[in-house]
Amino acid sequence: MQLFAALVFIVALSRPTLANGRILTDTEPVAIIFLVDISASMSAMEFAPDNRLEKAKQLLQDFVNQRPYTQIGLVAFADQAYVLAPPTSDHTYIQTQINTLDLAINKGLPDGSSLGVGINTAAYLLQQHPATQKSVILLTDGNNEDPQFNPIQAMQVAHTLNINTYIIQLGDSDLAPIPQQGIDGDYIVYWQSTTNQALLEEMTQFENSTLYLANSTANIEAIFQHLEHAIAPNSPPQIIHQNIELFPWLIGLGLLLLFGDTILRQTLIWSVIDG
Amino acid sequence: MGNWVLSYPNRLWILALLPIFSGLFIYGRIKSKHAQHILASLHKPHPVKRNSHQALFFIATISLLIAFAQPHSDHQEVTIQQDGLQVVVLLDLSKSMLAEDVSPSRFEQAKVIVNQLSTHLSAQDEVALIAFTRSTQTVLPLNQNAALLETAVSQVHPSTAPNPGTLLQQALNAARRVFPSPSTGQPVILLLTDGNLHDDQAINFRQANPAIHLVAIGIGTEAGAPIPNGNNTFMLDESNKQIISMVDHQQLSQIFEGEYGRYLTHTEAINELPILLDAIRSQGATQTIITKKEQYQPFVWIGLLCLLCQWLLPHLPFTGSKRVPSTLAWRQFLFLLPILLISCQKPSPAQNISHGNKAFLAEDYDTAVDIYNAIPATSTFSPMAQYNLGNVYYQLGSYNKAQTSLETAVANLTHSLRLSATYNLGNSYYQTTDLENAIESYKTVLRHTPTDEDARYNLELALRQLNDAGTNGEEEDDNSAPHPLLPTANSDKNFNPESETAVNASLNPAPQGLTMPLNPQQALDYLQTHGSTFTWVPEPAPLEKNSPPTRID
Repeated sequence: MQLFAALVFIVALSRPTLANGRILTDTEPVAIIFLVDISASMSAMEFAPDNRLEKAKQLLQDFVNQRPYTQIGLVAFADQAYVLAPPTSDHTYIQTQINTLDLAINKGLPDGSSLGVGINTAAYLLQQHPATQKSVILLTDGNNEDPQFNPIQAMQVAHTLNINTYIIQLGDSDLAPIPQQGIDGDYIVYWQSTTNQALLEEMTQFENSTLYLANSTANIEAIFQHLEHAIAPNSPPQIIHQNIELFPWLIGLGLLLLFGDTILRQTLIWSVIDG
Repeated sequence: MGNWVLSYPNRLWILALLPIFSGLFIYGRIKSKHAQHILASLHKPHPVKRNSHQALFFIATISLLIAFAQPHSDHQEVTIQQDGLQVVVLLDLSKSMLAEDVSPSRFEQAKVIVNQLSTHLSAQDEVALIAFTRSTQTVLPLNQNAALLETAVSQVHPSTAPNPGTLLQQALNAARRVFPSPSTGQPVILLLTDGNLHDDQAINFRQANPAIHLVAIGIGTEAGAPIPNGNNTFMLDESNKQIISMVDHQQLSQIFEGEYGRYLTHTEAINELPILLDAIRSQGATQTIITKKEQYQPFVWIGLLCLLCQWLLPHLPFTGSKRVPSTLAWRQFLFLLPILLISCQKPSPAQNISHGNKAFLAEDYDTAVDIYNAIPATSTFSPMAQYNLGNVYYQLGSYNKAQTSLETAVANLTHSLRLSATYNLGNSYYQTTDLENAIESYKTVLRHTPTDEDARYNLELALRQLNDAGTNGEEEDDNSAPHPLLPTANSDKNFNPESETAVNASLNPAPQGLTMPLNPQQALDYLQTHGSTFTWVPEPAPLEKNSPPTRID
């Protein structure tokens, strides 16, 4: 009994706690903007059965699902930039908006690919945001066709404002399979891709920017998995753990054992002997 | 350490039990005298031994009881304010909002109120805009950028809104769904309308959602005005008379005024809305968390030691025991020893490093320095700690200290961090214009990774400066000095999924953004002119409904 009491005290010394009482405070301020190219070449079929844009949409949906506490925004760009959502915690809205993404030509908008405008717009939205960690995930297969907006300068601005940029290049510089609709059914045309990898590499010369190459389904999924870890691993709301201390119970139990032991020793022995 | 206080002084009442125990001991002594004739074969307990036995028991009990009363120090109360407002603006887009009894029109007046709101909200506040008629459309999702409210509100107009009419219930429910759960701010619904509401809808909503502040602003006059229908015509009813839209402020006030609800007219809103919002903000739920340091351990130690002594006492030779020393007590002791040692363990250095990194990332450099310094040089984590320490010193601008730490790190690191350390060491040499050493470091990096552009760039920079110094520094500084001097750590460029290494990123908080050719103000100015030319694409407007409006309760 004494031994047991001592054991209980020693366990109490190791300060056991129940990580139960949690107090939810602010969400960790992390903001991400998805910047998606909607130029015509995004219909290339590297990630069959999906085209580039559809695959990107799927992966973005998954990404949103996995981070309930991150502020996420959505910007699409072709010839110009379209803000579908500023960084918001309303993820139902983001998911609706991701679903509405379509190629510029299908929406009757002018086709094109202006990386510079896209990055500027994303940076503009993030620059006003109070988040401490800001990131842009750029999905593109294109080139910069608007000389007025220099993408390298845009990247430099983003870098100066501490915005992390993750550029995912979809497809490589080979021939890209693009489905076409003809009178006698659908067929596939191989276009010389307009992807300008050299430009993208030059854009990611800055410290907080990274270039990823995605040319297969397995590849792009691995990249997104990596991104989920790379961007703000501490995105859930800051939780203060108010641990429940267990040691008072243990000390109490030990005391009880000790008292019981002493009482028994002082009385039982004599009653046994008397008996 | 601070003052030591007992959390539960009441528990010391258990001390009142101690006289009972002394009574027990006396009882035991009498009994033992009484029983001596029976126990003649047993040895008589040594009086010193028995007294110390009981004294030890009492000391042990008292100190354990003090531990039970939970002494603590560093009592602190931390107040957490759930920050900010979450305002959902519900904008009525019914045709009657075009009426011109308010100049220039009810809708324009609503815009003025919304724009005023956007300037009044602070960075912690979040705002959303939902336009409603018989259907609802989220124009701006809940976000922290109040300035976007102006862009968003310019996207909608009553003349282009689908499904003309007013369905308040649906709009209120849509607004309620916007608020996150659990709530992270003070929820406010700001309803801008010109009336024509079923009163029970709003009252039901307020009863069902007492946590949401419902502020309604009635726009229009009681005299009313006809509703424009384009081309200088006005909307007519069946008997070809002009429909006059009137706003019954008194009725609306009856609907909305009350607990968790306020009603303002558009004229009152201009002055009173900011005051009202501030009042709601100040109601922000504050939580008080008490942090304290438990200090029970020393008392448990004393108690345990006394108990141990008490057990071992009968078996020590000087107490005059004639019994063969029992090995049992020693065995108990040996059994407890390892458990005791385990319970004394300190937090491991790996944990300390990650604490340091947290402090580093939070830019709390002094704490980070303390934590890294506390890691013993013998620990396997010491080189990493030195690397991080060097980066902290670099960040703090004490380049000499940075050099010392990084030199230690370079000498002891074995893996890929070593190159990063060398590169950063080069940077800190560069900062102290120790160009020869800087050049050496960059060369080392380039020998291992010839493709490292940053190192190459910095090497060229250092070489050029060395040459300039050789020619008596005649050439004034070209614009090379403020160019990027960035540590390479953490830049995993051209990611290749197959070769993802297991370098723990949290061990590697490299300093970022040291010097740049652009300053933030220039960057912001650039974005003002180059980044604000986007097209706003809100949620697709709901489709035109053919069925007549049905009331939803």
